Amino acid sequence: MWKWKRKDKQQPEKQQQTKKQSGSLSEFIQAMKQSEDFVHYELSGSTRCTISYLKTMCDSKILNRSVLTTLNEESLHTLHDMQERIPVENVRVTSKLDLIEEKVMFGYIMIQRHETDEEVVLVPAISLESREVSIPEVEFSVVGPKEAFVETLNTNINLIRKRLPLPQLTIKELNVGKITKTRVSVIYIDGVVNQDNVDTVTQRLKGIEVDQLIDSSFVTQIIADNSNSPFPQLLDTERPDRVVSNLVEGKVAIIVDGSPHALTCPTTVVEFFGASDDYFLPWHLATAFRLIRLFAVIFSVLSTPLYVAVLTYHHEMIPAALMATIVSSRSDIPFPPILEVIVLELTIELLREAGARLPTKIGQTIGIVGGIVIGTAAVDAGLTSNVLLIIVALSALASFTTPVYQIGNTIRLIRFPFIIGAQLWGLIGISMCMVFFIGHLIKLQSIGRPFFEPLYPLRIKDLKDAFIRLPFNKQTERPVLMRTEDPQRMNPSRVNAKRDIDE
Amino acid sequence: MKKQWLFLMMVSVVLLNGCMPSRSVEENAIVQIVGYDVGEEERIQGTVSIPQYGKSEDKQAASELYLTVEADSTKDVEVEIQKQSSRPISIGKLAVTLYSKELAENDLADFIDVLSRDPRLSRNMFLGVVEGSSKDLIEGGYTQDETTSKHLQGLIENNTLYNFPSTSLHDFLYAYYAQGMDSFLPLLKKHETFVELSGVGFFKRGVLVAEIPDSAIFTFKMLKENFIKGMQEIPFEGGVIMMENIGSNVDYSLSGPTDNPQFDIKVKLKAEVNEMSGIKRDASPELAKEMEEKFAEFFNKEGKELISLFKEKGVDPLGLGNFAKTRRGDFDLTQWRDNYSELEVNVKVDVEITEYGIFS
Repeated sequence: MWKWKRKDKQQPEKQQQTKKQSGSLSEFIQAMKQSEDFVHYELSGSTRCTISYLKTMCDSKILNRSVLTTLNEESLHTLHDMQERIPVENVRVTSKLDLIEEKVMFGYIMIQRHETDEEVVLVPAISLESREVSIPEVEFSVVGPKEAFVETLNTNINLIRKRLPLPQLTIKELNVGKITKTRVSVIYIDGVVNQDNVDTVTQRLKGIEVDQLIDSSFVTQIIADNSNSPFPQLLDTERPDRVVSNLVEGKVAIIVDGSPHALTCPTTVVEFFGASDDYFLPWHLATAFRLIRLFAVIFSVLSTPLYVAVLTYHHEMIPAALMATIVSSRSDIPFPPILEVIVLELTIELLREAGARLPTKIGQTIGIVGGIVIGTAAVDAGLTSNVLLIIVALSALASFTTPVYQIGNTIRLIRFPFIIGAQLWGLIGISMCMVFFIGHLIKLQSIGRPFFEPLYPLRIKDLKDAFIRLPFNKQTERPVLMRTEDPQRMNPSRVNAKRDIDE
Repeated sequence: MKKQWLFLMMVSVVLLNGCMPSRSVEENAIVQIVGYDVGEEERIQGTVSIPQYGKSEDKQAASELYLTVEADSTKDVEVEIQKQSSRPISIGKLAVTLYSKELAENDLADFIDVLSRDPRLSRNMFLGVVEGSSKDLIEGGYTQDETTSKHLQGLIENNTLYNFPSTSLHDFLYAYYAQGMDSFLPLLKKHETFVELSGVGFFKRGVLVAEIPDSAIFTFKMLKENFIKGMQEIPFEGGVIMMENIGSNVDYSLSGPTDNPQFDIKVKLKAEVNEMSGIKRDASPELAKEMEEKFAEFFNKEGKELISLFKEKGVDPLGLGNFAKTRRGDFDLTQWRDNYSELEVNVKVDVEITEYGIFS
């Protein structure tokens, strides 16, 4: 029965073949000549040399204005002369083949004295096409900074560094991906962060065995403590301000080149329900909104399972005043509550998928068509009841309140096990699912730190920024979760000191 | 292997979902009111009403289906009714249970036993004793837009806010099983077109032994519990005064030796006077003083009458025995019962009239 699995195991483990390195520089040049955009020619001006570069990766301004002009106007006979004379920063002379290969691929200009020479001059002339820094679209906020990360690593680091102008901000870079060799940066504030966290992150990043790293979400999935969990264990955000405030708390950030989302860790489940808006509003308002969001999530997960459980098993729980409404709206429906719920939930999921895949303008139409036309038609045709339509629509709406998109997807899907549990054993089934999920959450870790943290293990100190957000003068300590080297954010006695005029 | 078992289990759980016998609410006959009468040949007659909810348009239509069966026991009533119903009976939403007076005077112990055991039943359910036949009362059809059960439920619930002492299955069972305490139930009476809460019936264990008319309910509630609403009509100088209660506090105290205890029931009543009819005098603070004395005198007399009725019938709905038991370690229930008829109970009511409306 499980033959396909056994066969897989029996296959001899082949030695993973490393990419075939070209033996010498001339072989490398021969290999590169296969591509149309590789330019390789001999310069016969004042300076005689061979110049080669990838024209699609090079900035032609640097090439024409600085490199070619210098080479043509002056007579340079050694590579070191060239290094000195070419008015471009960071020109280097090297004969290391792997370095040459890497740099040329990124858009450096290679200059040889003769075509057969092994030693070359490398002139950086990288031209990068990148998007402008724009406003955040996933984590939009009405007030506060409106910059979002883009796909270029350097721009993203720039967005962080300009908010944290201090020498302790450390950026470690490594390459991940056998083929893509994607640049991945680990960012932290030295002296605040716990070195263990940095070591864990770097170790896991180094251990990644993957051929391509297209987006930061690859990293989330690969280095997560439990890759089979529906809950994301690294917080992804497109807001530099959020990353900065996490760094200051003592967290570690990971930025992947080519991805407009940064990852921060360790994180906790409550952090996924906190929006950056929470810090821009007065603390009591922020607390109220945070609690509303939390209630919305609970409602979104539990409302339809409760509907199924109550209508199928616990008729006693229906209030007498609602009895007539529910019974008469259900009386025309040919399906049992479970089928009715699944049909309607799947309809909503369809609408969401369709809306997410289509361009914005058509997406709006889909919302109207789905919401109004299908909704009323389904009720009129007697396929679903009015009451359920309201419940399902509200729970879909409630699931949109999560500020982090990743957890929104989790919320979307985990209600289905609850619905099945509700149909099987009523409220007991719902409780069993709940026990299962809470048990899972308690066991989860985010780079070795407890994921369910302020609740389990219960750390009263960290509750000050979990379900409620206390004012800034009460938050004088960094969260316990990170075990930072410097737990004090600011001096509490100075924060709370009264400064009267007559002092 | 473990993973494969887990996978198989998950799949079977999901698929077996379809095999669960399940009945949605609208496929059940939801019984909301049950009435029991004395049937022929030592049997009991049970009557239920099942609300028939209309299709989507007219939600408020309150048509009901009445089913009456003869059976040997309470559970047998359920079985017999099932034979007449097209849908399975669901008794979880039972809100009112009625017993005919004839049945109550016989003994309700068997019924109460069933009520206290069945976990499906709500403890907020109301019980009541019907003067006459409970079948007729259930089948009365009193209002256009309410079912009988909702009507009776509202009737009792609303009255417990005012003159009637709080009552429910929970309260009844508490008094029934407590030592030195007896239970009571509302008496309902069907008139031509309406149902009336006609008084209180007092039980000794499961047997109805005494009753008081609705005019004495206020005094009983005053002695039984604290409350903030309710009205009482009091005769005064040839006319009648409506007294509105705005806060009544009752306090029991126990003195004397355990074998011959003495009870003091002190009631502090704050009241408003709203209506005076047939009284020729103008409202004034002096008149209010006179009224206060008169009212206190009236309630003292009424209270004494009630206590002597309880002593005579040997019932203790106020729970004096229970009170004594909680205060005295050497309390003896049999001795208490023997001495109950000679128990000394002093009722002292203190009335304060705080307001008598606007007058110039």
